[in-house]
Amino acid sequence: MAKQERWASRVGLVLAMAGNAVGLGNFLRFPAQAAANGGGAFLIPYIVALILLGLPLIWVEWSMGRFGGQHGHHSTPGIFDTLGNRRAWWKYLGVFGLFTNLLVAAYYLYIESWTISYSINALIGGFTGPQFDGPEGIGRVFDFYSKLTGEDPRAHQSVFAISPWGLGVFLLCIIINISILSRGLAKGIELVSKIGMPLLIVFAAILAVRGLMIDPKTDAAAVASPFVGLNFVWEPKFESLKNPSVWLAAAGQIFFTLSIGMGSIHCYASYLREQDDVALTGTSAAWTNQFCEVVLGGTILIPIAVAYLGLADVQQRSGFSLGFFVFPTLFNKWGAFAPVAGFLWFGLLFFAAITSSLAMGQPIMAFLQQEYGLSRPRSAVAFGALLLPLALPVAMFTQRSFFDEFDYWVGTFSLVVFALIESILFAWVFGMERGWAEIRKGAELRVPGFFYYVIKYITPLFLILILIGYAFQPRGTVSEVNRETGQVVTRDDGWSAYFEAWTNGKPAPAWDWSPDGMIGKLLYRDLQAPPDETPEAKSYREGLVVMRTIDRLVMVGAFTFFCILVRKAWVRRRAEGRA
Amino acid sequence: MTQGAWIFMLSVWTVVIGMTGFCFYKLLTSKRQLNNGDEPND
Repeated sequence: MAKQERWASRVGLVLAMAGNAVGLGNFLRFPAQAAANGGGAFLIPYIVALILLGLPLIWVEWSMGRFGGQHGHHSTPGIFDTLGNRRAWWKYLGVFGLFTNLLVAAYYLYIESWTISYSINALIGGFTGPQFDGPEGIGRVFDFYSKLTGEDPRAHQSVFAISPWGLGVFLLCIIINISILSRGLAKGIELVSKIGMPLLIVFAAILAVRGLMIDPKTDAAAVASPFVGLNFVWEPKFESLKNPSVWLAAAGQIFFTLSIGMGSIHCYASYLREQDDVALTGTSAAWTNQFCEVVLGGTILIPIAVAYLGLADVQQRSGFSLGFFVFPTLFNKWGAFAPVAGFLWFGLLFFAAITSSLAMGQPIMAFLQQEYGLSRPRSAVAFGALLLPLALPVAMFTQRSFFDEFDYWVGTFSLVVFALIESILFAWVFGMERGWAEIRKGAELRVPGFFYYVIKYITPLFLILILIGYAFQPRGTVSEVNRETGQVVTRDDGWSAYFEAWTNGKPAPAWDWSPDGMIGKLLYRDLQAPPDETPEAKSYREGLVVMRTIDRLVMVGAFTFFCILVRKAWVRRRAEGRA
Repeated sequence: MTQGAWIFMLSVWTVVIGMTGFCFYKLLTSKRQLNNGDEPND
């Protein structure tokens, strides 16, 4: 029998786990979320969510993984089966830990492939020169993106979006991931993390320092100090704390930044031994992620963008739009350093992405190795073979179909469902006494006693609230008269409009499902026909409805496929006397 | 930057950098390592 795979060192494991958590969202999503949700005050609910939700779930997932590993399981179907006292259906709920990783990898690797193209193009001077100045320059970056993806985000016209170049780089990216995964835990994933994470931090630090050195007095292109941007991110707006949407946004950010609810943490932790510490190692990985997000992520995107574009322009753009469409033109103002700066930016995004995408492959490979006896290289190829039928539609159809659907249903919704299931399993089925003993076993960091109650009561409750918040999200349309212009302006306030009504007695808006919530998504709320729809737009919209229906069938099919694989695996286990 | 922004940013940075530094200090100075000296097998 093959010897058990292990991590080579604790620091390597922490960097691999931190690499799993540090992703594109640390640099693109966090600063935009903080700025839009109360600035510095956003960090209050953010840290509360880290304590009540993030750290407890980190310890739960690490402990579950190590416990499962002691019973010979490295993926969540087996780990859930062991913790659930071998009741038949827990292993099927554990399928979420395979399903989410495969489907998230299908679109995440696509974005990762863009960072490869962008970083190489930046390094060879492809974003440098006077033609990349101003709005026309941004237009040229849009053109680059359109060539890469086969789709122009400024004008969606077709459900097809095929770019041979983009597809080629995407396939290359998948091959790079498979070849690293096939080298094993220590020589593949851990080695890449040991190289990638320090480089990511160095790249980010260089950009942050250079960005903060922008001086409008000496830099003719700058319209403001980068500290105006930093102020925009950090100035506390305490009134925002009364807004429940801000608390929901902070909890969501903590949840997604730590890569909780994926099954990848369980898998990585399952290669630990019984007496190996999980408390200190897990906490170290979590705080490394927070360092990359709060200190580095909050200091690059918004300050540099505000310095060159001004606050008003930046407020209208998303983090993704700033990062991929605007930033290459801003680096262009840094003279000879511009190609290097572009390479550093997209290089750090690449390292952030690849250390996460590797963590998505490992649980599926571990399952195939363990249950179907595949060798490591064969399981890596099998992962690629499973990935390809899902990844190709992501790259060949408009991002408003497979890409967006996978991102919402799998990359957002399923994670919360999975985390809720695992928190109930750990605290209430496995039992909090045993669970607490698992967290403290071999611990080199004393987890305070009040977390016993947090894990048992507060974390599941918190997750239920997040799930309700996302699932039943209302549009909450509020109309207000602009005092300066006298015009009636409408905006979507989500849950806030109803909380205002319930707590302050204000009139509640008529109930309507938000297109960003579960019910609104199911009802295709964002694909409602506008009154002045052109025949071309109608054809595109109807095509999208068909595509999204197919996407959902694919997702149900993928989940069912994994359930069948798990069932067959357990039939084999019983036949071989291993069950 | 306003005083409030500076206070918030530096306070949060202190907590985050302090916690990260503390965890890595404990990790790097710990005598316990993984695997009890076994070679990793890939």
